[in-house]
Amino acid sequence: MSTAPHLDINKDYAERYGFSDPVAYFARTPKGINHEVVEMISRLKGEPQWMREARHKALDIFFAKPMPSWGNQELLGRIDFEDITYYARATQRPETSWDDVPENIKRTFERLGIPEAERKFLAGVSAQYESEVVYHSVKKELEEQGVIFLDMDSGLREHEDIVRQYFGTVIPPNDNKFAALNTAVWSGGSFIYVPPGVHVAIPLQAYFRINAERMGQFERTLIIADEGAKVHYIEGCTAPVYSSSSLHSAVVELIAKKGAYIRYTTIQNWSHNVYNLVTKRAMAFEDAVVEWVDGNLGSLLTMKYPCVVLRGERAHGEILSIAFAGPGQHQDAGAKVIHLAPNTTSKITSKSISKDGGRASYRGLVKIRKGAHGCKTTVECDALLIGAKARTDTYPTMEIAEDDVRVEHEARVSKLGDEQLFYLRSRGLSEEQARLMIVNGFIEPFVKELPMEYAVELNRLIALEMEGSVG
Amino acid sequence: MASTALPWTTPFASLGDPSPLSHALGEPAWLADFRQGAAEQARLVSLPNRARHLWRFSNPERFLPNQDPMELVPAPAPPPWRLEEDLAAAVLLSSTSVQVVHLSPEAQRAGVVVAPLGHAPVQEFLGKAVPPHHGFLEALNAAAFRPALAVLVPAKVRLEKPIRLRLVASGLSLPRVLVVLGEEASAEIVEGHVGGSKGSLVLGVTEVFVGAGGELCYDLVQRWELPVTGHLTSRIVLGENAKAQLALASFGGEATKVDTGVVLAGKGAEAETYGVALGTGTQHFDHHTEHIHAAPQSHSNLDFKVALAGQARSVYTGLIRIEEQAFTCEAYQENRNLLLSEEARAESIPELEILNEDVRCTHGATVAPLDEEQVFYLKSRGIPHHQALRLIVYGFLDQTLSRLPEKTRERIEALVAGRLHGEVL
Amino acid sequence: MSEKRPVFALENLRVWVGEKEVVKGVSLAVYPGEVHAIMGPNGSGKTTLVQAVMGHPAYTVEGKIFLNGEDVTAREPDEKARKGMFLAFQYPVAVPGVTVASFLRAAVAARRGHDVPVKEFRQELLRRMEQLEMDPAFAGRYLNDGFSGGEKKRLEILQLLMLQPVFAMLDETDSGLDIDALKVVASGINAAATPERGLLLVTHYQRLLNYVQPHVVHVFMNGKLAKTAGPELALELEARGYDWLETSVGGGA
Repeated sequence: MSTAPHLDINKDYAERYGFSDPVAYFARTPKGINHEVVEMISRLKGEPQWMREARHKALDIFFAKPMPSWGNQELLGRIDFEDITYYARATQRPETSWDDVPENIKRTFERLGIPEAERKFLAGVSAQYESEVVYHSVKKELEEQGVIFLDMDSGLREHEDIVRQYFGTVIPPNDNKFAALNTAVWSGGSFIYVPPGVHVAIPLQAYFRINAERMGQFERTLIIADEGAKVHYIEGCTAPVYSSSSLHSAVVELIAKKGAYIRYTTIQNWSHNVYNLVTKRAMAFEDAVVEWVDGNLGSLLTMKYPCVVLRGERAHGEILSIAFAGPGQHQDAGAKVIHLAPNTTSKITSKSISKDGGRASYRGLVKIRKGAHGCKTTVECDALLIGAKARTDTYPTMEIAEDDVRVEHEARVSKLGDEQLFYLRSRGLSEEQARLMIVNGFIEPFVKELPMEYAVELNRLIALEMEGSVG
Repeated sequence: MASTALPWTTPFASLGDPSPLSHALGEPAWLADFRQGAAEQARLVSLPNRARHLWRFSNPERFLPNQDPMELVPAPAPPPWRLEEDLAAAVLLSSTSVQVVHLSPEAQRAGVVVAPLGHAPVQEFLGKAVPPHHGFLEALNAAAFRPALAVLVPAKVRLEKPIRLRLVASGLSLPRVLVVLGEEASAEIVEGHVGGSKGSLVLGVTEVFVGAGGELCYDLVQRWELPVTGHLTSRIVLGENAKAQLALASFGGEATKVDTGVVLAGKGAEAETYGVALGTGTQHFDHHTEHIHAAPQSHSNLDFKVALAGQARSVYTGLIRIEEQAFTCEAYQENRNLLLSEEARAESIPELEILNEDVRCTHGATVAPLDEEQVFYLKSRGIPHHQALRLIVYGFLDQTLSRLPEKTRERIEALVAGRLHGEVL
Repeated sequence: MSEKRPVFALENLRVWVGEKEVVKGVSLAVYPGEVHAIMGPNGSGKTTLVQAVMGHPAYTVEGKIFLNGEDVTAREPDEKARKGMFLAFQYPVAVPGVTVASFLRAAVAARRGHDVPVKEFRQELLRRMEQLEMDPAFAGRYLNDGFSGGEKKRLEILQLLMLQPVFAMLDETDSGLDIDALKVVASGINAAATPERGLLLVTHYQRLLNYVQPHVVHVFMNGKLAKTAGPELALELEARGYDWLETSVGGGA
């Protein structure tokens, strides 16, 4: 990997748009998206020239790119990019200790259980509030191991060389319209670097939430596990209900070098008006293992297809996801695996629940390039339908250009079983209890992969979603 | 109306007025009107979008005629057809001609109609299963189709022997077949595609309607000569408690795209689709199947197998859709691909769209190479290498073919055998 | 015995599956401490009878069902269960992802009306499992998921012992069991046959009755109880089959 980023940057933005005055303090950019907004964000952050130019370049790509031609065209068509605030901040600088965190923000976090999580077993908390990191701590032990765990803005300031080397190399801005938008206006997110051979024993964790009306959130996360390193990152989102639409469009890039291991766990529970359009991709080099564990609840429309590119021999990718689509929601989630190297393996397990008019779609791609012999991949999709007008779709694509491979895909769709309900009820469980038990059983293969706290939180969220599902 | 320029770039610049064609074929007014409407549609429908997955792997331009489809070009007479089995009817379709080679006395007595489409009372059915706006190629067919055949089996007539249609490719062919089975009628129809030479292009459409309680076996067998390019669209619409078994077999052609489907429109309808494709050389197959459950308590099953040698390529996309009001449906779909050489490629996209909760659906797809252990085992018993491979391919396809009625199975197996020995392995 | 109030009674129970009447008027009473057996040929509707009594939504019911003197005919299945009715299923369904332990804990809490502390529950569960010669690892498996026929039947009896119902129906609990498993299951049933409880065994064969002694044997045919007698009737059925009753039912009705 060379030191230069793969970005072809036009050098003339400053001239063209005449941004030369220092930017005064501001709490948020005006609504809408243009080069001026991008310049404001970049100047406020005091970014190096290359990043500023990368943002401008990406914005041009964003303007030029069409909207995705798949997914929910109707909902996508309703996004008004001019009615969104692209940057805002709640406090001026990152906090160093919990005591210094403003009281109102603390209260919100307490409801999410962060302090408790911190006490129990978490290594570091990087909690994002209104697009800016307000609280940040990294256990001493990690620092001693040379592990870098920062919010992305600090990462860029303190480790510009590493960021510049990898930023945009897994997901270039021209990958898709929303990746371009994120590159142009990103703010926050996590930056993690784990040195060769270092095993991070405890999961690293960050909580995100959208917290202002019509406020977009565009985190940018970059995780690099150097050779033989091991790390588990967890991200959880919850958000209160707002009355108007909100756009969340993150980009997550993972790089697992030779023999490295990365697990990235997400549980998202956006409020039911949020567009959650996320690009997540990992590069797995020789003998590396990357696992995406992805839970999607809430949101109006989620479009998210975590991807693993298996670049080195014997690399392994795994994507385990659940989606819960309630009334009016569309979870268009899936997975992608690209086998570029021989003897690479992958496994995709997707479980979805569509309830009362909700729609869950699995959209997936398994691609095996010519010469990638000895590959194995299995895809399993399981859909559970509850209530009237629930909808589920399965759109898997398999492109196989090599004969010495094994590719399997299986999908099942079933409704919540009457016989199961009767059996459980005949043991004294109420209809609501019985339904919840069946649903919890259905997602158990996912839940058991989560740390206990998250498992508890997810079960609580599912219980909330299932409330009032009887009759 | 003279010919009208087409608004997009195609190898042919215009689509002529269909009336001279209608006139030349001596068609009634309703058919001439249908062609006129379709020609207008053809001018409106755009070329397939390659970004959409149904055309992602096959370039639509490959299937465009390089002449105005309205032009009638003289074609050589097809070779005579020597019938070897006992049939209810046999019809030879080529160029513009529909030749009823055989119609059994039983079928005649029962009132079975086998006639050029314009001479049969099928006005209410034409374009109802595959409307002109289905796609650009279907619109072209609807405007310019020939030869065209209608098969009518009256209510309660149960034909013991099959009806065979032989469609001979030559130059540009736009064949159209329309089949109507009355209530509680039953029949087996074999639509066989043969012939063709370099430059041959076939754009075919088949529409089939099965009345309440009817039972149909429909075999779509494609064994064109290798240079042929063809696009075949077919839909079978099933009434209440009607049953259809569709057997697909694709062997020939340089580039073949098949878009076939069953619409389970009546309550309690049942559909089964069993297909095999066998390719080698640089053959390109693109098969799309649909089972659309539009009514409650309908059941469908699909099993599609592909074996590829040489540099052959197969694309399979299969859709199961269960509509909102189609409660208590079951649908199963399986697609398996066997790659016999390093250069062969297979794509598989089995899709589900389920719009109500009272259903049971599964689908599965696999792509795998020859099992070297199986080859080794057979060879260790003294079976030569190529024979061992053929045995394995037979076994692979047989799991699907064994679900077909014996006669159909034998017929397709004979074709598999011929093709395997001759060219594939 | 008859001075006591029955723990369970049916009063002219009729059951329809769609338009078809499957149970055509059945009355019976089970008193505390009694074990009844309902025997009948395959397909006679025995399973329909007990599933309908438990409240399966596929059936329409007429007549009356009493549990401990209370009319529970219109009650939901879970209400019946909480009041002390139990059905051991002939074919228990799998609920993947839900462990036996978590399921049973929820069911026990529902039946007893309060949560049972984890430790106490665990001890009780392990004790009962030992009684039925079940591997403790069983508690962590998913409910009926991938269970053998014998394992499913043992689990049904385990639930019977854990839930302590007032009245239990056991539907073909002996089918699909080898002789050793049958003995274990029978010992479980005998343990459940307390002086306060009523049991109703539904069976096709006499086999189970060699191990569990019924007080009353009913023959269920053509939707009705064709004959009711003492335990000797089971032996007679074993020897003569059901055909001889066919004529008497036909003649009597």
